[in-house]
Amino acid sequence: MRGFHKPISSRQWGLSALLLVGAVALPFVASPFELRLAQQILLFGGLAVAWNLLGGFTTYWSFGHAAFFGLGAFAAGLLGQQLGPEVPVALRLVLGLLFAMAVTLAAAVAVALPVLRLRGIYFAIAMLAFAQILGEVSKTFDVFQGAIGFTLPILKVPGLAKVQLFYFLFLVFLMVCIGLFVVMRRSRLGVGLTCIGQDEDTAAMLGVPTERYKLTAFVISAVLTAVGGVLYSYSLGFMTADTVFRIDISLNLILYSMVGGIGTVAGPIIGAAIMILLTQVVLGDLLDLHMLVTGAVLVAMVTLAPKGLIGLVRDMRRRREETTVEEGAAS
Amino acid sequence: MNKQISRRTALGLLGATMTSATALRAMPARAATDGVIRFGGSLGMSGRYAETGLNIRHGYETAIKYINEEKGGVQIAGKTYSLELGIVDDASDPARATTLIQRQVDEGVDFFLGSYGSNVVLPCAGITEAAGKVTVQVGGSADQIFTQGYENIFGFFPRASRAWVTSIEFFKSIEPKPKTVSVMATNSAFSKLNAQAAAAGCKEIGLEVLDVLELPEQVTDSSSALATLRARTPDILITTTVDQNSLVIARQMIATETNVPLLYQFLGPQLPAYRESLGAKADGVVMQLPWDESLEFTDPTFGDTQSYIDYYNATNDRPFSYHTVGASSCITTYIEAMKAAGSVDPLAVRDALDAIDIVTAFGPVNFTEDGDGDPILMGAKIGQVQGGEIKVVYPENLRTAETLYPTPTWAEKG
Repeated sequence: MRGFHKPISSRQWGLSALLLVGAVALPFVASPFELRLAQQILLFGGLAVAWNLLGGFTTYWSFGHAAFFGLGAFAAGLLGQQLGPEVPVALRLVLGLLFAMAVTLAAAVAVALPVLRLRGIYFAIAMLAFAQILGEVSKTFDVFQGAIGFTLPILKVPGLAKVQLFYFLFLVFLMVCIGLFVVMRRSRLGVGLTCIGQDEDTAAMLGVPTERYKLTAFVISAVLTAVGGVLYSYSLGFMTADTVFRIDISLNLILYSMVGGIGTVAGPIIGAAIMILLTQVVLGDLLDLHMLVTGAVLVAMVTLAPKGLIGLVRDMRRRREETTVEEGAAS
Repeated sequence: MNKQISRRTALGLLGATMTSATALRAMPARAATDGVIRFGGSLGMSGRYAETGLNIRHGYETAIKYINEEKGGVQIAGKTYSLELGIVDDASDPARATTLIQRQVDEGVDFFLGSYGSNVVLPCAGITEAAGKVTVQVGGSADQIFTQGYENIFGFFPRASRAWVTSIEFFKSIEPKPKTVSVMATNSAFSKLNAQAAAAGCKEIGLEVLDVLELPEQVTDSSSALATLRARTPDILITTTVDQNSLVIARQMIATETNVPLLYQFLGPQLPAYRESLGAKADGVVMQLPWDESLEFTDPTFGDTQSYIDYYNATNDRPFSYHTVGASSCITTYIEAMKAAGSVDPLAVRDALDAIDIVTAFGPVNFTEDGDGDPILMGAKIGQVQGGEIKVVYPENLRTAETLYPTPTWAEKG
């Protein structure tokens, strides 16, 4: 969490621009399978960055972000159904996104007020329960169609295959998540949240508006997650409650952040990329062993790099710098 | 203690990972040679549908092993082919499933076997359909799979809204005529869709639907629903629940002396564990029978149902289920379609599947023009537990016992 106000170096700008050019060019050279992998990395990387807006700065680790993911998907899907086929699909998607954001904003504020009074494991469990409740509600009340599911219309843009189109939508989603994270980290809000993460009571005593800052981060994180849910459901074309209100989605966001490095912008994306490539490419064909090997790799990673890969790299760089200084002093 | 990972070690690990990845990715490509028919697909072998996923996988593997080892492959248009199965674990996750299916499409797999759960089957069908690949599946029956206009997906069961044709006909055949029915469902797509279809079908034949009762997806306590039943007791109680949930409901009905003249449980009583658990109390319970080993069918691969069962038991430790037999028959159906087409071209095979009319160890196979199973030919039979065994009570041409109605009360069953 160091260097909030450190200016972005020209090297970082250059690297970012290079990555962006590569990302934009990828759909025109990659195979559909590689694009689907990239889609997942972009989407879940973005969702993990969104999760980090609260969980990365503070110790408020949400174990129920699938609630917002599902809420967004259902809000947009149900609105799309109400609008009917006479409204163009692209307009239905845009209106669905806006509606999902509004619904999630309201729900996030409503749930945040009581839940953010809890800390640590109590907050985590409350969020887990919230996600479970939303999943059950979507299935219990027929109006939500969570049990029987519903189809979403196919979005088409001339000249782009569906897999390419959603790749670009997920890329934009990731860029927005990254942008918000970077802006927030460099703002008073980010500094305040970091103080909350270090010692909330002391931060409050020092005048940090802890409740407001936590609420703001929670709501932004929830709304971004809902946007991800909308795009995800449109990319699949059919969804039930089991498609989106899944505990593994909530847990994966934490896992990706831990593997890459919690509280960093690149860490969650790197974590998502590693885990998705590991489970779906490297181990994808090991029918009976993939879960075992994945588990072993995770245990090894958490043991060898408890701060994630970004933390590991930073530690290695720091040690190298210290060694250089010591060698300089000795000579 | 503060030992750093050396660059050599790090590079070694990276190299090993990349080599493994490359080798693993190369394996399926090597196998895709002439004379081999590859079947792809995904199954939830971990996650919430793992149990059924494993049953289906064993069915696929059994048929392929038999054809390769016992029959020396298949002859199609004068050429001998061996079969190869390339199933991956989708962990019941649609995003993972679609990605892995896309990989198989990119690798040139032409024939797919479906996953389990409509929320996984349908997104995957979108990919295979767009690529002009064929899917025959035994794990998804939501109406939406067959109403998208897809031409290349075939299902072994009638779509959910048509799955009750046989049952409704059975209710009509019962003497003395029942007048009222209540339906109990859980919060899942499968259960709710079936409950809707059951209630609608009952209304159509003049049965009064007293209540449609809803329970959580995992049933632990159905006492409030049972209290409603005791207050307004129907002639028939239909539970559109699956295995463990059905057992919990039956146990609580026994414990609370909630008696109905006929208890119809969609899935559950088919399992030996259910009948062993309830003992004599299970007698009289009626169920849908997607398949039962007492039904003797011929089979172009195995000879007949009994030969299939014998071979399966000789080569597997896992008990078979109707999903297992259905999965094996998916392979048989593919092979028969390829023989009829005289080709392994996916479009020719698709056309042959459209017209297929065969009998397998699972029963007759004939698809509607939308690709789901014919509701009469591939629809469920009706079974009733009598003397601890399942007897087929409907349709009449397959009947092995008369329907017991009204059934004795729980106390009278001993």
